[in-house]
Amino acid sequence: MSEYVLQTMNLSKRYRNENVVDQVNMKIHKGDIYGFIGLNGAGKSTCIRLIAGLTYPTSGTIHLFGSQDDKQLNEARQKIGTLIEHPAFFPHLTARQNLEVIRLQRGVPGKACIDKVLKQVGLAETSNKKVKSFSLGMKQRLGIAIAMLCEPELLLLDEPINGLDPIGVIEIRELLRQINQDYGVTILISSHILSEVHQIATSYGFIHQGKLIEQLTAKELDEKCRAHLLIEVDNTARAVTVLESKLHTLQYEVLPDGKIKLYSHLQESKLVSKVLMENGLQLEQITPHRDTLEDYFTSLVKGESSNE
Amino acid sequence: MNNLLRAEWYKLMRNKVLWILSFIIIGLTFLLVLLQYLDHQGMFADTGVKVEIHDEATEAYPISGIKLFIESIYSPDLFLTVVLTSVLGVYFITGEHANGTIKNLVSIGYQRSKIYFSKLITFVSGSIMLVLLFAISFAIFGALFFEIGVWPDSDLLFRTLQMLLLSWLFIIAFAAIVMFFSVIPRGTGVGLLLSIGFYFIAGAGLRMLSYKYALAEKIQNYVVYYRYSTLDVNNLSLANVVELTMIPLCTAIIFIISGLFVLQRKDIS
Repeated sequence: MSEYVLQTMNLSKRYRNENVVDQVNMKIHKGDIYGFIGLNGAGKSTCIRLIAGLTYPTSGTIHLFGSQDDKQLNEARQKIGTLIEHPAFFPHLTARQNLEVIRLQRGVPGKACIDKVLKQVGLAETSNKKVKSFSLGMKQRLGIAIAMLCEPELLLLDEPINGLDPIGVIEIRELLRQINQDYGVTILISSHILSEVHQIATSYGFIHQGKLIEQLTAKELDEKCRAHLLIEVDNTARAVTVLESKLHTLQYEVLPDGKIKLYSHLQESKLVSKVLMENGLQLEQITPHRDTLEDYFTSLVKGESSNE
Repeated sequence: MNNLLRAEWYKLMRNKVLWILSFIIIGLTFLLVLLQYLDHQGMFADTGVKVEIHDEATEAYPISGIKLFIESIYSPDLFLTVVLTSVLGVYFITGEHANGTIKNLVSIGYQRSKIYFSKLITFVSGSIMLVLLFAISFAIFGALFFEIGVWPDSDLLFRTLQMLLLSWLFIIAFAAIVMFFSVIPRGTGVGLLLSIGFYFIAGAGLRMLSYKYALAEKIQNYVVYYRYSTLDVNNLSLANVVELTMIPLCTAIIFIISGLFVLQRKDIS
């Protein structure tokens, strides 16, 4: 249990007659940047809200830092920083005053931590401005500052780059990478901007219709998204036989739409097309390809939907 | 709990509504004392209008800052107290549900009961401060327009203290009621409507019914709103003191338990 910073067991949340979160078994190792990926309404935010204690599970358990009961879970929550759904502040207070409220609530001694975190998120110059005059991006930065103030061991960030301009996105990405590497902070980051998550995540959880349909490390994902030749022919079954008998390869995958992913002979597309055509197949397409996270997620979600 | 109380106090002291209400109280008392002063100068002699906060207990004393201070404690205004506690409570408590900052607090891992009590304690302190500000403003403006005056005899001082403590107990009950209605909604408007609406039903409404129905009259005797408006410490027996203590205390306990029940089960968003 203790090897995981966060582990959920059959975590479920039911609203009226709908399972918003359904039997989720999530495991996050210490030091991970866990990309939590799902469509809008998939259950990402509800999962994070359950972990943060903002709502109660209908069934299942949450183990934070090895906690075994509710009391330990509540104590463990003192080690987490959160930014959930949208950053929340007192609009009539300044950024510094908002951070002071959080500092007092958490009982962090000294005010140096406020200056440090303001500098980290790039709000040092505007710290004495009232939050109501902040732009969306500045509010997002302050939300991240609030989450980071207590030097948490686990950061739960729900759509943290929403509203940030391109430079802001890069800065926050670098900041998260830095606190993960320098301080060993484990980060759970949910986002629908998959390309952003792909740049920093070290492990992934894919959620769809409340169910965690896959969890894998970045290495495993790279393996699954590896380069291949995408082949489209008029007869898939015969093409597979030809690949096995003439090219002596088993490194292929047949997609639900009949296309074939060939993971061998990557530099020999001419040879592959020649062999296929010599065996009477009509070749529609043969192109070198590499799946992106979006492609992988899309195929995962489509596969899940077709299974239902 | 100590951290929570410090944070709540920090927020209360920077709450705009608290300061707006304070300025309104100061302005209102200034006007009331000014009117008394003008009346004292014979300005309204021809009109027959008499401007005076009158209480038998202080009748013997000439008008002064101290006399106005004591009289304001002796004559608590129910409607003003209810409105002040409701407005402060709703903006202080429901405001956090409306702007979402309650999320930051709950996700830290504090028990919700501790969060509830830290807010209630701070809110009660703020409400008592506002009601006290009335008396203090009367004392200051009274001293400026008339004279400081002399301290009354020890018997009157004792009764003033008794009145002050009892009225604080009632303010705790009012605050517990407002707190209950403040944790239910997510919008300050609804919170205000529920808090003041409850006063109109259980206070003014019940009072009207009591003129017609004996049962309503009996119930009214155990309702904090009515008992606060008829609070009188002159010639109190021990049984009266116990009753006047138990009614606000029981009311506060019932509403605190109900409020805790709501917050414990509430989805924070």
